[in-house]
Amino acid sequence: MARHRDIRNMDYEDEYDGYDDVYGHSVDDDYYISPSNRQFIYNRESSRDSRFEHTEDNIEEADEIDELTDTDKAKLLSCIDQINDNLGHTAIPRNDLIDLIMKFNFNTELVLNAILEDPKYNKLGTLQKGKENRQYLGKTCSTPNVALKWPKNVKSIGSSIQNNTQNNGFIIPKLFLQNSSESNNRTSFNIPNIFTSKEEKTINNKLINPKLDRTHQYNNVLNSQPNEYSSLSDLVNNHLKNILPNNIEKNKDNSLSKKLKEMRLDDSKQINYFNGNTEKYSQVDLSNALNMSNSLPNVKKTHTNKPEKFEIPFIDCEIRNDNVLTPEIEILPCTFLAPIVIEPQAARNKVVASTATNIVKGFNVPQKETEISQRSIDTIHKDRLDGTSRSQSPAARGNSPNSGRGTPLNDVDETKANRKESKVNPEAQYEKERGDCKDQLYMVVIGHVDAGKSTLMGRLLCDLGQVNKKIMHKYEQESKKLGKQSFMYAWVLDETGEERNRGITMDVGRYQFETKTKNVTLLDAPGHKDFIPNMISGAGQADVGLLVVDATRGEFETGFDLGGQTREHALLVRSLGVSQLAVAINKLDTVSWSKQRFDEIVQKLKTFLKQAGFKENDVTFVPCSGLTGQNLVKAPTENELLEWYKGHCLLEVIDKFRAPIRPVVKPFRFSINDVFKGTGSGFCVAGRVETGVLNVGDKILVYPNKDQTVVKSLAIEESSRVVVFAGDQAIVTLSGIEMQNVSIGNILCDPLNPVQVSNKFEARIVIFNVTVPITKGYSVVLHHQSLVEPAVISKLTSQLNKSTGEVQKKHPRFLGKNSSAIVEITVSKPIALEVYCECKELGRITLRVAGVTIAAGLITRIIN
Amino acid sequence: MKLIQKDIDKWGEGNITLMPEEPEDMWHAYNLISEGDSVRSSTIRKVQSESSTGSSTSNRVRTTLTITVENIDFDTQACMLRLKGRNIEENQYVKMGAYHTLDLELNRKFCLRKHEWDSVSIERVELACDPAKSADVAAVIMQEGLANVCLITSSMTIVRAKIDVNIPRKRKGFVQQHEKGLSKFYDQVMQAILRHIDFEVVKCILIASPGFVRDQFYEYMFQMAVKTDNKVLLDNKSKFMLIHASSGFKHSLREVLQDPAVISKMSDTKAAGEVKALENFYTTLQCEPAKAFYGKKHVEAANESQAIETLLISDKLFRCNDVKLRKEYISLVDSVREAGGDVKIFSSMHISGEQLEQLTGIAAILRFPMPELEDSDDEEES
Repeated sequence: MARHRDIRNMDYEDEYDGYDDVYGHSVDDDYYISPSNRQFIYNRESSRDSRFEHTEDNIEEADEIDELTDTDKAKLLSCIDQINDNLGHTAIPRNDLIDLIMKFNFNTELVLNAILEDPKYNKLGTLQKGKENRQYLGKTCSTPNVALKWPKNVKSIGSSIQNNTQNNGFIIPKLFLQNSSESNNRTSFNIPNIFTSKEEKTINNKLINPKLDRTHQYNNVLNSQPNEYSSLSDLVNNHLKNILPNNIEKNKDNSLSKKLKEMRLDDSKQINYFNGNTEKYSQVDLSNALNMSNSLPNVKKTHTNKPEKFEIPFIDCEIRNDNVLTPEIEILPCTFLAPIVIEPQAARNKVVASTATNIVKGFNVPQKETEISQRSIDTIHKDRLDGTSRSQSPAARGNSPNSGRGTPLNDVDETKANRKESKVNPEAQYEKERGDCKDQLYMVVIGHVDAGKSTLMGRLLCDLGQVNKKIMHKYEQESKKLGKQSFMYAWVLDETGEERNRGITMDVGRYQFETKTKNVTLLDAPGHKDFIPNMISGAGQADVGLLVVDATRGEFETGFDLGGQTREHALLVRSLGVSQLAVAINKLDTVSWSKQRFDEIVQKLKTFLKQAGFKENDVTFVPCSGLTGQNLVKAPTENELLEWYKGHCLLEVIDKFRAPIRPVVKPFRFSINDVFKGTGSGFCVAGRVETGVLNVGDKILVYPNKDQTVVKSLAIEESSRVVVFAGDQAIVTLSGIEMQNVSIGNILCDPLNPVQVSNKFEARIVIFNVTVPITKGYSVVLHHQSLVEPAVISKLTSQLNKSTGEVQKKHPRFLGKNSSAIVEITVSKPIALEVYCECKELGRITLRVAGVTIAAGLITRIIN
Repeated sequence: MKLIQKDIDKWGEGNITLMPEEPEDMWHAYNLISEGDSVRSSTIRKVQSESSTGSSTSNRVRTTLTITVENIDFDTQACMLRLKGRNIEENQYVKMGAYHTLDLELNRKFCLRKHEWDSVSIERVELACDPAKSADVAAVIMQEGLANVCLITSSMTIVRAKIDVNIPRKRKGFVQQHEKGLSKFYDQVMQAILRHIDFEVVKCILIASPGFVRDQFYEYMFQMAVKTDNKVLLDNKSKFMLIHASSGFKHSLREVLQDPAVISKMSDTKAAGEVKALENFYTTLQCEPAKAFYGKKHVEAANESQAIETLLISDKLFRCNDVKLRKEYISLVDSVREAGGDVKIFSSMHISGEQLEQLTGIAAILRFPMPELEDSDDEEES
């Protein structure tokens, strides 16, 4: 194989000549050219320069793993694991690794030797050890560092660029937008691998190439203005000169300066290729040059950089980007924002993880983060290999919940048009199916019993015209008959006779409505203490929460103080992964819209919610009245309220929620929360697609029983679908399985990528306000998704510091209130679960005792 | 249980003859008999005899066997005790040293010989033979889709039936399915009650659930009883009690037994007393962590300073095969008693006993705080 050419004897200086050129431009170009963009793109086929040809020809798309038998696959995986253990995760591109392993017939030792001896990987090995290999100094730039350094470098160039731009008014091909936004689901972790050597480029398959290209293009976008080639390259050279001397001195690296000279030479050479509409080249080279320059001052840092630093440069980039903006390139900033927002998956995951840390205080799992990112890379790898085409990740179109920034929709449409669609690729499929829909949002309504949740939502639905007038009239009459006229709106959601007679919600009621930008599914959770299990299963499916509190004097206090459900609900939804919350201060008409009362409640809640782990700007307070319908869908009309309230009405607040990113690329998981007989043959299960994609006709497994079944049909809220995606609450009709073999709390999953099954696992838990301490052997009720199982805390492994997550005490005798700990939990029978860092959705647990939630936690390890 | 004969010498060796009268007595017998003891009881054996002509006849003979126990089996559901061991007394049918299995039967006396009758065993005999009958209680712990029908006797809680069905949730246009599923579930629970609960014996039936399930069920049951003219149910209507529980799982029984209404009704039941003692332990642990300890090591250390006020110990610890360990526990119990402490032996068949068992099986509330114990860290015999 070309990859295994004699690398040791290679002349790097020569090899690097072409390196920059090829890596500088995107292979994607050939795959995603929309007609309107073609003119901007350099046609590689027409070029006779042989240097570019191999990049395409040698690309192999086939997933090597798939061709293996199961045993080989297992061997391969264990080999990879071992090697990763030895060399660290980011050391070697997975594909190379697989090749090597195949070559040495799964002999880990030989592979390791080969890797360590191979100069190509040498640097990675040494990088791992914290040494530097000078030969690669120029190339060891990894994106994190680039990114880190960007602000500094670019700031200086930025201004001159800006001037240039304004003079020339160059418009960046749209393609960039696409690529740059595409790169956003890639992690920067990958990038170092690509820089290993020139050798790589000949054998690298598409998988790596485009990535690199994207990085470069990303840089391009950063640089943004390629226009006057010579002038800018001068500028770069100047810039390089500025930075270089120190570095050379510091590193005593001669090759570096050589390289630099060469690069400049290279630049001038490039002019040959550079004519007419092929401006791209200039960009490419330029960005390479810049890239280099950036890397240089960083070289020293290469190994010391920690992933945490990611976030900072990106923020900087955002700011800088605004500076670079010129009116001529309007499109640019938008898409550019997207990658910044979401770019490194690691960073994204980190944000998620850190939001989780808020509730599960001191649960920082820094190590795991890299693992997460690694894993996500792997999944992406797989995806890339599986799919014949690449497409934009859903994240790209994304209103990322973490960033608070969104990509305008029209942009998405543009990029979407450029994309080839592939059945296999979940992202593409998702985009195709859902790209033009409003964002789907699942909102759980929570609060103390009798806070007016159902009434508030019933009224909201009525005012939105979702409820038939006739039906409403019927409800009014009937509720009057029962002497409960005030419950008429609640009847919209409370449907069973029992609920209506008692006037309380018992099970989660659901209803759909639309706001300006969202498709909202409402989950009306019961407030009564005894029905919290139902509420948990409802909230487990929700993206955002609406906390309803009763403003009436005394009522708020009973709901909020010890024993009230306001606290417990808020803590619960937070630990179930709901991070955005709207607080409706209901029944404010009973206190004649007093601002004082509103402020008092807001004040109390704010402190509490902050403790519970909600970010302050993720919580919105809305005064309203469910029964009179004030400030629900329209701005208030009540003068007393108008006097002091200038904010949004409830509907607008709901509309403002950010839809979370749906993890469609992950393996398919579906948690069942209802099993019932459908109208046709077979039976239905309802629940939520936690991750992945499900198509009609898919063969899936029901865990933990491991029964195989086939998807006969799919539906979302009565309308049938061919495919459902992560985040959807779907009804799946199954065939080939008995109804009694499926029960609530089971997990449907992908047979190739099944969920784990165990009756014992380790979890980090945060203990709430408990009256009785938790000891070893404490029996609890475990809530995991919609599953409710009795469990025993079988071991107290260690008590953790709440804020730092450090181990405070090993084997504590007991865990008191408000502490945090690692415990082992044994469930009475095996259940399907996942470790939190692999699958957030299935890695969360809640523990309850005697009707009180005592702890919430994350599964950290599954013990078999 | 009836004590028929007791013959123990001053060294503690001797035999006791007992006659089990109710299923629960089997449980006591199970706790009394340990490996190495010899048991003498009558049993039926099929004896085959060959005549001189070679034809064989078999006939059943009731014979008395004495075996040294090597293996003890207890079937909680049927309350059967099965002892396996070598025959040590030859008779005309059974050879010396042959392995035999004895099933202890109700109303048939058996003679138990121990090399050493320790205080715990003797106490157990006394307890078993205590004529003061405590109320037998039945409990139905339920939530939507799950019900446990249990019998609570003074030293045992037996789950007689567990009903676990899927009830479709309420959903638009499918409310009927939910209600149908619910009534089917209620019907199953009702059938289980009729089948497993002997209304002659049981003094009280607790129906516990979260929410309104118990009320709905109660209503349903008596509607059905009227419809089908079920005399048994209608006559015993007054025996039913509706109690709140947080879930339908078995361990919610603990909450039920703490309910004041239940306590007053079955005050002398061991179960309720155990639950209370365990609750005390937990409260102490929360309020004064230095006064509550669990685990053998800690408790023994506390005992050395005669600090134990209440010792909670699971009877499972006395059933262990390791004679030495058993002796250690017994001496612990004795020394606590000597020091004026209170010893509560939990039945591992009760909910509270199950929990104590999880909690290493031994726990103690102290008279005075011993913070130094807390620091002497980390044993955890897991």
